[in-house]
Amino acid sequence: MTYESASEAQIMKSYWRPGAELENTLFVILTPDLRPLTRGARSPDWMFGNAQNMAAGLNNVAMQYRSGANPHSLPTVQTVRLGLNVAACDKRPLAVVVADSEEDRQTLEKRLAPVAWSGDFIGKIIYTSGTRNELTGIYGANLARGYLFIAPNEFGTTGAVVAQLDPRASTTDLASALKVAIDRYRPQEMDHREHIRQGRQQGIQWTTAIPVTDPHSPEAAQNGGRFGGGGGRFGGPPMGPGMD
Amino acid sequence: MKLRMFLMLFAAMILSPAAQAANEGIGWIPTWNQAVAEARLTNKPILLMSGQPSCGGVPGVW
Repeated sequence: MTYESASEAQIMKSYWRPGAELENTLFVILTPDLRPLTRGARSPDWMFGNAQNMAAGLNNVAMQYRSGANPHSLPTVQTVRLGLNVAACDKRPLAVVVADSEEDRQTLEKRLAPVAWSGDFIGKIIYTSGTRNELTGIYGANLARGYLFIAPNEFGTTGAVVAQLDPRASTTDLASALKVAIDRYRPQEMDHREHIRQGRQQGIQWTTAIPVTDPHSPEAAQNGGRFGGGGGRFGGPPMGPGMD
Repeated sequence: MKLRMFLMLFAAMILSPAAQAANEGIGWIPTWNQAVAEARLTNKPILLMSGQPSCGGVPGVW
């Protein structure tokens, strides 16, 4: 997530225009050893122009890296706070692995990971892990160790527990709870403009981990107008399937 | 903002039959370190798409 990690921001800048500040979005394709296969751009649109070109381009790359292996770690957002926000953005329920020690969380994550990467659940749940102290504002959270399954509110600032499991839960139990979370989560259908309007009306404000530096964003303008003017280019022209 | 920083080992996702179903999502990997580790283990390329999980200071929307 842009502006949520200083170390990741430095990495992202290395794939962006030399000397330029990080902007809100970045799209790039990398080899497994992190060499860029494409120029950094603001979005796939800038890179490929349309979905058909993108599919062809990605397939060309994928053909060079045939591998039957699948991811094995639970794909966790860094914090519960950020996980709630991301879940709301994606309109997905949130699963939280709860334990006070990192070692304990890793043990619990390992049990959930194969379920998360199974065909039934790929892309349908956001995951995070944290301590019980990070559960403030989540209604119905009352365990110190285990798994919580949460429906985030519209703004990702709070959530409600729809299911919870203790640390002895089996993978079958976990799969059932994920299914309950998906079935019970009913996100609001609100358009972008209305979402912003209501958020501002309610005084809801997100503080990023590092300052926003996109010259076109309202936040950067509030940071003293360091970045003036607009326009300019954010990446190369649309690329065809060959991605030359 | 409509995009987010997730890293996807897209060889598995693009080629997965499950991903073609209308209600399927994409199995994003949320952090750089996790994605790098998975890429090294699986020898799959990385599709990096980063975005800000707020707009105009309001969270809950890209």
